[in-house]
Amino acid sequence: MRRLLIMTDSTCDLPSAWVERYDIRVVPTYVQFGQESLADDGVQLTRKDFYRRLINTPIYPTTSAPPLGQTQAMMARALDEAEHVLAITAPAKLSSIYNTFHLAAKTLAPHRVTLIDSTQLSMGLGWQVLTAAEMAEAGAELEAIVAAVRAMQPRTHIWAALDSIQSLRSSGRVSWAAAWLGDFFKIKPIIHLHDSEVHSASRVRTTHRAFDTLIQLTRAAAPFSHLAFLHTSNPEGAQRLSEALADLYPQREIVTAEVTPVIGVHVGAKGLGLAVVRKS
Amino acid sequence: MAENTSPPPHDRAACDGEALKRMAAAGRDWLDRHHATVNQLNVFPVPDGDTGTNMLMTMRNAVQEAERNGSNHAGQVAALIAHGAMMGSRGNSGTILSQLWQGFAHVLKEQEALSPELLVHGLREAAETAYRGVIQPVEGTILTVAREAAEEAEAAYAETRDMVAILERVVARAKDALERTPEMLPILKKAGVVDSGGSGLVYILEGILLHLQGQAITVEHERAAEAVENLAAALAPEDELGYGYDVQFILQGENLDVNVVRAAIDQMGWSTLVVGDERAIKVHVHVHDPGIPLSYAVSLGTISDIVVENMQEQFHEYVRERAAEQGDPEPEIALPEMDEESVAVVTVASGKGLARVFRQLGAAELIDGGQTNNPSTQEILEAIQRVPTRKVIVLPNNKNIILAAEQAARLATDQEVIVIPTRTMPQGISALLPYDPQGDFEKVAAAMQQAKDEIATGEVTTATRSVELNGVSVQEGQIIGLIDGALAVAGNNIGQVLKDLIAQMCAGDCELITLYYGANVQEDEARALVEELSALYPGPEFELVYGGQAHYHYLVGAE
Repeated sequence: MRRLLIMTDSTCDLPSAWVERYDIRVVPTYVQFGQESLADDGVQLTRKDFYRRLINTPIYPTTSAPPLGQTQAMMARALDEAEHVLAITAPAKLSSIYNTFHLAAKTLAPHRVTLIDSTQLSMGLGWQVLTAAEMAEAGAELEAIVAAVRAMQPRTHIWAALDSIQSLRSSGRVSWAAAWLGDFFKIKPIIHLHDSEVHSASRVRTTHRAFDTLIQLTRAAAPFSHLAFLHTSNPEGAQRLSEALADLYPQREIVTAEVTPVIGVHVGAKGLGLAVVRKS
Repeated sequence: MAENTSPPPHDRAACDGEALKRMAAAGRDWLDRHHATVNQLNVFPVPDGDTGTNMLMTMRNAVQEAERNGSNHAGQVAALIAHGAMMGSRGNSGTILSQLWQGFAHVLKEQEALSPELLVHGLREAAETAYRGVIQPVEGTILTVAREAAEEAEAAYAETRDMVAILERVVARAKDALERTPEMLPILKKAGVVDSGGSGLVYILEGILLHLQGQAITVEHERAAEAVENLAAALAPEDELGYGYDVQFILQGENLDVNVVRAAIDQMGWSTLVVGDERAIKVHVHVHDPGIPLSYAVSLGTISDIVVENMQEQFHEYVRERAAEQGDPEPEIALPEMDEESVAVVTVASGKGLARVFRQLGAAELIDGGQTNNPSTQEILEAIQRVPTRKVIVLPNNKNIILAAEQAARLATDQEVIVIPTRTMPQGISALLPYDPQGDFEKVAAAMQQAKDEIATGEVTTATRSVELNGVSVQEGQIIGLIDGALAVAGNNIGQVLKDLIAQMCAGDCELITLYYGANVQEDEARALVEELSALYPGPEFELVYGGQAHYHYLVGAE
């Protein structure tokens, strides 16, 4: 029996190589196109299909947390294989995923599951999951891992330039965006996710300004221990961004993640961003 | 009284506070008579900020402030004039004019009367204060005229102690300096004009001189116009009978006594204005029964130019217009959440549509104004003070409002105020994009400062006079296009000028063109034009937004 298994949810955007390498258990979240509910597990719904549908669909999709039953089933299997489970999830303030994990743990084995609200999404969550997995493999104690993950949180930021405010507005989860009522159709919010809050970092009206603003915000926050480039069906943009910020890479390889559909529903296609952990 | 600055028996020995008020009033009235001429002196033939009107408004407020107060102490009167000028200052020239009065008042501070010596010192300090008030003083402007006037006063004082003789030389030199402004400032030479602010100053100095020489300066019709300008105040319901009627007419006769007529009219109603001489008297009065003043006047002579208006209707009309023009309140647009420590934005906006856009982007206070309608320092100051935060950013959005905004910022001593010197409405909108009410004050201001320079502004308007400039030849009444304030294209058709303008603006890298159509443009024609433009220029995206601005058919933001 293994000492510790790491669980998370599919909003973490952790590249599959790492998921496999550390045997991380990823509970899928769901996207609904009308009556059709699809798991963003990369099988039922691939990123490529999703973003193509997102642009063309007349029905705007919605999202949902994993069903309790499925979460329980995955957690039960992990508890069969390991003495203890460390689950790190999307922020409770932005999603009910955390609560689903909480209920699952409560009904199974509350003392054998440690649950952490990551306060982040995408690779902002992914970096915490990866750190926990690396430490677990290296034999670190649970307390040390939890402390390390919590210590990362205040240093973790996501900046993203959305192509339009419409998705964030329709999503309703971000009050300032929901309240937006503008004569400008073309407005691109630059958002900042930190400590479970989505802030408006700036607003621009062109893609080149969006790009420059991202670079400016990122440079002001350097240096980093972790840096990942994020995009929603915008690989060229992510490529250019990674080239423009080449000098800021930490020691590890360049990580680029296409953001999972469940987040894509809320931010829209053609977005560009970064998830960083600042050096302490 | 000021409306009839009849020549006082000039006492060259005692120039007390009352005398100083009369001098300032004469300067104001002479400028009043010539302000339209000053307005014409624009470098670009655009319906611009109206230097003459702005300086006149500044002088009116200055004299009014002094006249409201009974002081006969020259130093106190000068301080009142300076204060009035500062609070009433509009446009860059008006603001510099207020600085001139500040300097002058500083020298007179403890003085009961103005002497030739103090006049000379006062003119010097006036010029120096004005230079200090401008970040980058430019020669060939009102500053040069003020400085040379001061130099001449010093030279004259070495030869004579006669105030009138000194002022004669000062005015002659000021005129001479004004004539030379095109030699100092190439843009004036190209446009074939002298500096407008300098010209306004010459009229003020000349008015003072004419008054001291014993010449009468009367400006009756403008006074009546001023009364109409103060409509809002005049329209306050005076009693339970309601608003009553606004009655105006001209009484002609022989041996009329203005003072007797004024006293009689004053008994009949309120807001009385009676000016004129023994042969013609202009009457303006608010009454409940228009028949009473008219019957009275007929008993004295013949009446003409009769205007009787129902003020109840006027008031309702006024309220409707204000509501329509300001586009504010916009109840559905929520203001950003703010507390005392937040950063708030105060912005000048011209036109209902632009006001909406500024509101949507989070501006807390809007000041109606723009071209030909520059708000005063006081109006800007009041808007700053209405904001419930300690940190305020001001967007003047017009090159003629920047100085007044900076002056207002200095006067708002209970708040920290930063003026981002935006010169156009599209620049102001661009600056407002990164605004974050909860951000760090300095950082927010820096981001906004940067954003203002990330857009080029195009303007399409109708030429107010003929000129040849920047290789573009324009006839009065033609349509012209400007890029960042410089004349770029001219033609006879709004659509064609807009296309030519956008061709020039899109020569470089350009991703988005926002067109704000003005109050006199129909949405359909604007939409049709945008379709044509999109076909002509497939590169950039186009966005059409209702601006509702006066004078400018289209404002263009290219980024």
